[in-house]
This record gives sequence, structure tokens and C-alpha cells, in this order.
Amino acid sequence: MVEEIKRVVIGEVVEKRPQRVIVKVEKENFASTLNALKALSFNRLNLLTAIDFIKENQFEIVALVYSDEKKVMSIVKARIPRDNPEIETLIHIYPNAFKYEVELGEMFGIRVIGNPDSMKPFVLEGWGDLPPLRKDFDSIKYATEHYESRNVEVKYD
Amino acid sequence: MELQETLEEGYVEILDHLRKRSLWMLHYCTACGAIELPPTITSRFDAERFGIAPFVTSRQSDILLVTGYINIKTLRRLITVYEQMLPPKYVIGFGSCTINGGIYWDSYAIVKRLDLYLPVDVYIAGCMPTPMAVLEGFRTLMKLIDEGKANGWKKYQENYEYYKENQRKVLKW
Amino acid sequence: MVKEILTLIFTPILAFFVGIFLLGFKRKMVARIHRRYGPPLHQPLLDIIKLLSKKENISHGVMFDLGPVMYVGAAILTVLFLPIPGFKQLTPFGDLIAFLYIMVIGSLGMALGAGESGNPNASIGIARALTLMLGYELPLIIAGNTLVIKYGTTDLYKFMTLQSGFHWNLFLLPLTAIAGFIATYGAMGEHPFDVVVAPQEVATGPMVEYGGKHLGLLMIGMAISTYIETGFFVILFLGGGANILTFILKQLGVIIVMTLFDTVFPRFRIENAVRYFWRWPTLIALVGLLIVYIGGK
Repeated sequence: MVEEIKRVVIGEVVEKRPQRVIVKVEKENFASTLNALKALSFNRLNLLTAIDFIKENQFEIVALVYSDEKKVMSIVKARIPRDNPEIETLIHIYPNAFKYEVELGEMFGIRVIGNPDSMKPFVLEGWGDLPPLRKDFDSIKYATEHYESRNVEVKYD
Repeated sequence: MELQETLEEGYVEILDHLRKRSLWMLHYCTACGAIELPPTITSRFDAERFGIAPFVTSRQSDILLVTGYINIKTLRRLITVYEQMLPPKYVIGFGSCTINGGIYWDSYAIVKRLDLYLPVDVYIAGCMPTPMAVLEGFRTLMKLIDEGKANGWKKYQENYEYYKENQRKVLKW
Repeated sequence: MVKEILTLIFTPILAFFVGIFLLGFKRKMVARIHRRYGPPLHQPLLDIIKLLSKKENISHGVMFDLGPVMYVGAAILTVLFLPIPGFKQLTPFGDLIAFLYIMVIGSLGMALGAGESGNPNASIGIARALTLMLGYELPLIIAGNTLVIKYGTTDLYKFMTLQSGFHWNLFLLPLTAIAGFIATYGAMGEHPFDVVVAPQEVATGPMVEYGGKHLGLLMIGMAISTYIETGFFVILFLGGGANILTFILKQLGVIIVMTLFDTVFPRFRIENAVRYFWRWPTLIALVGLLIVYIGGK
């Protein structure tokens, strides 16, 4: 499987175990790599998410695709800069990526070009602060400021 | 006048004695605590022998069961459902997330105290409470109704401005 | 004369209490089949008392308020046309054909009232209720008319007295009795055909916006309807009764046999239910009609 993937992809291909193949590509080739993988019998998108590398000032977009015939999972990664993050849409290749991209916009602040609902409010209706899953958002400070807690002592007897 | 007041109080007492044996609960599974409701209603720990049956509309039921954590999106819908029910109505807080936030106390979207926004009659502690604890909570509510102390709906009508002020601060209505 | 008028006034009250006993017995029996204890036998009475003592009422207009009133009113009117052992009630003024017409008025009144509420669940429930009525009326009317041909009269009181002494129609015309029994399932809303009140799909159909005193009136109407439908089956096929106690015991027997089948079946969809009613029970009832027409004369 690794040989067939190496022939169609521009990037680094590593095989971790017989059922796991990791592919690292540049930001401009992300959508075309997934298109080529879909022609190679990888028919289902399992997950599309992002990881925040705050010290290197970059986001990393991760997509997991699975092939039902050959029973191989492939992990496709791409790095994008942290100020003004943008990425191309995947809904023409895998239609179920629609809600994952809306969630990327709300929780990380990543704009997806080509998705009609990108950066619109989804789960947190009316959120005005930093996007909550970034690493410079302090969750405990926000929770203690905005929501009152019950001040009682717990007695064990 | 005194005769009329005594008759009214006696009438209310008899009604409470008969009414506590036929409470209907709203089957609105708010969050993860609702996984303990099917064992309580079906064959092994039978809740129907006390007259408690699950119903699906808010116009037909008496008890609102808030099971589990409360985030802001659910709290908006819960307040609308509570105001659609017909009095006399009761609210039961289920699980430790309604008491002081539970294991989600440090989240950016979870409300920590339920009784600032809705009047609560009985709390059931646990994460999750077992069906025997749930039945004990229902029996406590029946005892409070019999003594005439379960008056959450009257508190909501009298302190309406206090509850609405708290809701407006958190929910951005 | 005075005795008959007094009986006419007390019959709805008797029907209400017998209906409550039958409904409570059914709930207890379902619980025992599930291997658990059930609610006490007077549980429907406690439910009605709780519903009638609610403090506020929500109303959507005049027709919304009149829906349950028409339902209870039609039920009380229908129960006056059913004879009980020893008294004729109003049967000299209305026979089997008038009874079959009056039985339908209650559902039509509920349809108008529930449609006024503006909830789409109520509209779906009402459409399904009226379609189901098209289904179960056909075997019921064929079974009723078979008895008219056999006895040569449409008087319900004569049906009762001509079957005395164990000449029941259940033994003499078994095929017609089976068709009438299956049609009674549809009329009462029992389990293979309870698509009208489907709590998991349409949130109890027409009753979705009713609460408080309106729902209390509806439950009173449902108790009287249970008495009417089981009483109709007992008069046509099980021979009425010598006195009122044997009448109630026979109604209890009908409820027991119905519940044994009711707890085991899932629910039919509406088009499957109507197609079923027009296929097998209608065929069985037509075969019974042919037997009476050719052989009996």
C-alpha cells in the first residue's frame, strides 16, 4: 500500500504499522492529496481536526481516512501559520466534512474557503471571547469569573 | 370567614393526600444522567407502583427532571419548557452537576448552580445515582407534598424579577 | 315510568365507574405479565382527580375548549342507547343502525378541537385516527348486519333476550365473532393498531396540547368509551347477561383475552393497518354472511 501511495503523492510517506500510513504534505497540496487518495479506494473520512502548536506559532490540520477494502487507515497532516489561518474546503470530495469545518471555525478560528457556513455561530450561540480550544485561552479564569459557585464546606461524618 | 378558611384548608389537605400518588414526569433526557431512568421505570425497580409514569409533552406532566450537567444552550430551552408546564409543578435536580458543577466545574460553558435560575425542590446526589437513590428522592418529594412544603412554583411567581435578572446575566437574552 | 327515568340518569355514572375498574384491571394485568407489581386498582381515579385540580388552563380558542366537551357528550349519549339486563334504556327510539352512527360523533368532535391547536403533531394524529376509522368500521358493520339477517330485527334488546340459556352467537356463528373481535381492537386503540396515540412518534397525537382540566375530561370520556365498546361486543356475541353482575363479568373476560394479545404485539403503520383490515377480517366476515344467508333461511 505504501508503494502505491508514494507514486501519487508529493510529500513524506511513513508506514508505522501494516494498517497505519502517515502522510505529511504542504498546505497547497492538501485537497489534491485527499482527492488522489479517494481514487485509491480510501472511501471514508473519519475525522478532521486541528492541533495548536503555540511555541512554533503554527496550526496542524489532521484528516483521518479509512479504506474498507484494504483495511488501512491513512493520516494526512498539513501545517498552516497561526496568524490569519485559512485552508481549502473538502466538501466536494467527502461531503460529511461540512460540520467538521464549521466546528474548526468556531473552536479554533480557522476560516475554510468555499464552505458557506464557515465562521458562523454553531454550538456556542453568541460567543464573544477568544476561540475556546486555543492554548492561550484560560478556562478556569473564565469559569470562576462568569459562573457563581456554591460556597459551602463539605463535612464527612 | 373562619369556617370558610377551615374548609378550604381541609380541602387542600385532602387533595394533597390524593395527588401525591399520581405524579407524571417529563421524559426529557437533558444529559448523561438520563441513562439511569430506564432501569427505574421498567421491571426491576418499578416506579409505576407509586403512580409515576413518563409522558412526552410539557403540557401533561408535573415533574421536570434536570438530569446531569447544564450548559447555556440547554438552559435556554429548559426555561421555556418550565414556563410551559401547568402549576402545581416541581423541579428535581439529579446528579452532582446541579449542586456545585460536578466534574465539569472548570468548563467555559457549564452553569454551576441550578437554583439561581429555576426553583428546585429536591436534590438527588450521586454521579450517577443508583435507581434505589432515585426512588428515595421520589419518596422524599411525595412526603414534602403531603406536608404542604413543596412550593417551588409559588416562589417563582413571587420572586419573578430575581430569577429573570440572574437569567439575563448568564444567557445574554 | 319513574323507574326508567331514574335508570337513565344513573347509567352514565355506572358506566364511568365500571370503565375505571376495567382500565385499572388492564394496567395491573400488563404489569403482572412484565413480572413486576403494578399500580393499585383505583389508579385511573387518582389520575383524574389530579388532572381536574390543576390551577391554570391554556386555551387556544373556543373550538379548542369544545373538543373534549363534544367527546364526553357523545360518549354519554351513546351509552344511553345500549341496553342493560332488565332495562330497555332508549332502544325503542334507536336501533343498531342509529347506534353505529352515533358512535362516530365523538371522534369527529375531537378532530375539530385538536386541529384548532396549531401543532403539526396534532394534525398528523388526527389524520391517522380518521383513516383508521375507515379501516375498522367495515368488518364491524358486516358482522352487525349478519346478525340482522339471522334474527330478522335490528333491536339490540332482542339480540340480548334471544341468546339466553347458552345459545350464544360465539358458538353458533364463530367466524362472525372472530371478525367482530378483531374490529374491536381497532375501535379501542389497542396495541397492534395504536398508531393514533404513539408516544414515541407523534407525542400522543391529538392530545398533545391538552393539559389540566381538558385532559381530565378526555380521560372521563375514555373510561366511558371502554364500557361502550366491550358492552357492544358482549351484547352481540356473548349473550348479554341475566343480571348486571354477569354483564360486568363478561366485559372483564373480554378485557382479559384482549390484554393477553395486546402486550405482545408491536405497532402497525397506518397503511399496513388499513390494508390488513380490508383483507382478512373482511373476508372472514363475508364468509360468515354467506353461511347465514344460504344455510339459515
